[in-house]
Amino acid sequence: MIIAIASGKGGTGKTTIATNLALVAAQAQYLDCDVEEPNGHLFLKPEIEQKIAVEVPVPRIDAELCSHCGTCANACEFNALAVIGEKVMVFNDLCHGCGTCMLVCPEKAISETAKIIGKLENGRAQSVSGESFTFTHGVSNVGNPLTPPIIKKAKNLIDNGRFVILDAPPGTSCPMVQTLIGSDFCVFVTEPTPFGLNDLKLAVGVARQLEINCGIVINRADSGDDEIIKYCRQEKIPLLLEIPFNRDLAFAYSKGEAAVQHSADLRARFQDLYAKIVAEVKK
Amino acid sequence: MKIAVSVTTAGDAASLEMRFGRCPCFAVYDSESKEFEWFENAGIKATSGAGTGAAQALINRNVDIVISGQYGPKAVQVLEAAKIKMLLAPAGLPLKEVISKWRADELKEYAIQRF
Repeated sequence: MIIAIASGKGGTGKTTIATNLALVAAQAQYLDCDVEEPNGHLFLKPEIEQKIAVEVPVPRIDAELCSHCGTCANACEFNALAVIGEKVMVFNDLCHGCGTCMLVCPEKAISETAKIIGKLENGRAQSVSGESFTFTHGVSNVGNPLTPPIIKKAKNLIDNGRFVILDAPPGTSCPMVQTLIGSDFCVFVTEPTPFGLNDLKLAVGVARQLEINCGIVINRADSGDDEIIKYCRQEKIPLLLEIPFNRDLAFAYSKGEAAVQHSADLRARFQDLYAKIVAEVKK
Repeated sequence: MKIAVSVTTAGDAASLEMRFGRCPCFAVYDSESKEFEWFENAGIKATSGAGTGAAQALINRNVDIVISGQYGPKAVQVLEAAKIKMLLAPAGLPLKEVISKWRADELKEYAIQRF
């Protein structure tokens, strides 16, 4: 069972929901797909056992064979190549590794070489019941603009027999879509503000496009307005959990303590959330 | 000599557009024939690499000088390699005034920043 925890708007509490869910679920597998800023490890405190480099192919030009015809630069969708007189410039940062330049080169002067863009770290963490579960996070190199290949590689490690939790990056662009693809269910974490609602609508649009059912968690539920609840009713999206603002919880968070370890009430709420998600998937 | 200017639109209403890679249109002025040629900048719709794409388009048209409001770091690398001189002009300046300022040698050269 694969569950994506996403939001649309950033800072609504995706990682709070994802990590606490991992701590109460049975046989969890937690994958932090927010590879630009993975922070689930701060709360799950895993022991890292393995590090794997993530590479993407980038073009290498054989200067002897190249006739400077410009076919590659013209074909590149991402403008990663420029041909200036007898010089070819390759911008690895712009390259998506699609291989088109290699295919179209009439001189067969282009081959692929690997560029490291980030890494995966695998390990184990412990749930509240003392059960050990698998932990993976992707870490993008600083300055690397292309994160979907790291997310894809992290998702190759999915063990479908487990309760798989994908902690998604914010927004609704490629990295978020890459995380959601193939999920059985998506939990959107939002906040009761106009910003929360606006971005939630965009995120729900993505899930619908991908034909993934979703449910909603409202964080800091006692602030703001009730527009999210109206929206859920109108769109028939199940409201799975409401978490009111709690200063103690925010304080515990700031020290890297998980909510379910901090309060018995919250542990019960997250166990209930876990049960509701399982029931939604089995519907 | 061919001078490319990043502009807001083609035609008489054209004025200088601040952005090099993402300008809607380029005006190419031929200093001998004193005529303008226009072409749409594909970079305005590019998902990435607008600057390198626009620079390549200027190279393909054998441009010698470019005038814009600002240049991105990757565009600068390509333009510099192609020995295309980068000049600066204020956004919104009508195209004809951009050209007369260039003739009067009043436009500053873009100072390349090395990181």
